[in-house]
Amino acid sequence: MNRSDVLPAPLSLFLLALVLLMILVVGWHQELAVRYPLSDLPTVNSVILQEQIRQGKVSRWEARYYRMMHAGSDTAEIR
Amino acid sequence: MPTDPTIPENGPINRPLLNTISSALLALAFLGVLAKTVLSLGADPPVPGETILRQALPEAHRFVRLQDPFPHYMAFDGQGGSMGAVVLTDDCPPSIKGYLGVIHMAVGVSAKGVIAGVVPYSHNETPYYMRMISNAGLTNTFSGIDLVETFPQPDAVSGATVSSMAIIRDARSSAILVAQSLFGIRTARPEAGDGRRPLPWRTILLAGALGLSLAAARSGSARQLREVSIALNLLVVGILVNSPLTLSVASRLMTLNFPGWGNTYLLLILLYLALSIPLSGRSYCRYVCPFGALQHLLNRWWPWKYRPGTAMVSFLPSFRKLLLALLLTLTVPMSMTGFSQIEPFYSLFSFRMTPLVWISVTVIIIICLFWRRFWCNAFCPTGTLVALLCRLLRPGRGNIDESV
Repeated sequence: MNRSDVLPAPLSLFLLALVLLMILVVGWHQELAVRYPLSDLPTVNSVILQEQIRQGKVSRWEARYYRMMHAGSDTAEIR
Repeated sequence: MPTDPTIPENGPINRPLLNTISSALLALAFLGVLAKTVLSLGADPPVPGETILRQALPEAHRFVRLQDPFPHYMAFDGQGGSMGAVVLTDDCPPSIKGYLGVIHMAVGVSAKGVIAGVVPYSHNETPYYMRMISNAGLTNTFSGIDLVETFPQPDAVSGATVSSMAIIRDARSSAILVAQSLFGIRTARPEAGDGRRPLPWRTILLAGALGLSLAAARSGSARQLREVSIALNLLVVGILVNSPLTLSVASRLMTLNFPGWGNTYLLLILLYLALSIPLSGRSYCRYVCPFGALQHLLNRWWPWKYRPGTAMVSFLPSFRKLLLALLLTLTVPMSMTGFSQIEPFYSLFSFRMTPLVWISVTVIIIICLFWRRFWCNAFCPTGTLVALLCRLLRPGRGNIDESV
């Protein structure tokens, strides 16, 4: 029996942790997209979005997140 | 005995205990799914607010709910005259199912027989497809259709054909019912055709590819047949029909949202699962899953391999169960459906992804080049569900901890 039979290799653990983190971030990102469909948010700087932020429907953090993640995407109405 | 005296004989992880904990948490997650399903069984269909009714018939001043000859909202103008009606598609049987379950819509028709608006307000469809339909403006194409003169056939949205066809048929039948039954209007005969149906040759190809997979799974030694079947499924199930089994679909099936007869691709995949699990175990994962096929072909072609070691391999089944328990709990009892969309094959084969998803899928594919079936063996929640089904349907033979 050698070391890899007993302890997971650091590289394996790193890859596992990296992908786990990524899919959880993707999941949260998709969850935001389900809660606040992009079609409801025409442009990041629009009056509509500012109003939605004021009403508490979209937080400023989420608006920034949307702008960052959907920039350049073909499904994005936010620019 | 370990050759290195600095590490304990059984490693830092008590694997039997971890396995027990992960199985217990998974059982709890299934209990949560069951509870949510039971609670939703007796629930009434969702009722739209006045905002939705106003979107369906914007010129109405007020609405009154009436029951005769069928439930509807009669709309009145400022002078109290009847100017149209809004009907919910739930109240106009037969409801036509979308990809998974009924799409609830409000359909507004004026007293002169002109469609004022079609507004979907609740559904169990994949959000991505409904976004495609929304972006294509399908529901807007109904506005202004004069039912007395003609009923042009709107085109289904390419890539979301099943959902958009359900919307077209349901909206059309509800609007005609309102015009004829409430306002006595003799409507024009709808134009021929029901929108763009899934092409039969795709269905035939899918059936052929699945049949070949079943044959390959049953003939244990025919290696070339297996390779052909895997490559074919990548092309057909992945790229051509883009209908792999996903956690999103599985979680909806678990909550008793079944596909309609129009959803032939998913029905064929489910038929394959029903036949193959008792006959050949996890052959869906080995042969049919397009992302599994992609990993298999990439890893075969790539010259440098990485082997994770026995300790990691024996840890992964518990890890997969814990991940499935977490995702099921988030998706069904907590209704955070976004977490059912984390699998790379959820969006990979549509080739329409946000930059974040592109990055994560690319990283996973790069790891799969080196690490054989990395996603299947380390993460895949759908694969773990299939393995659980194998264990249930093949007592003594199905092994949830088995690698693909």
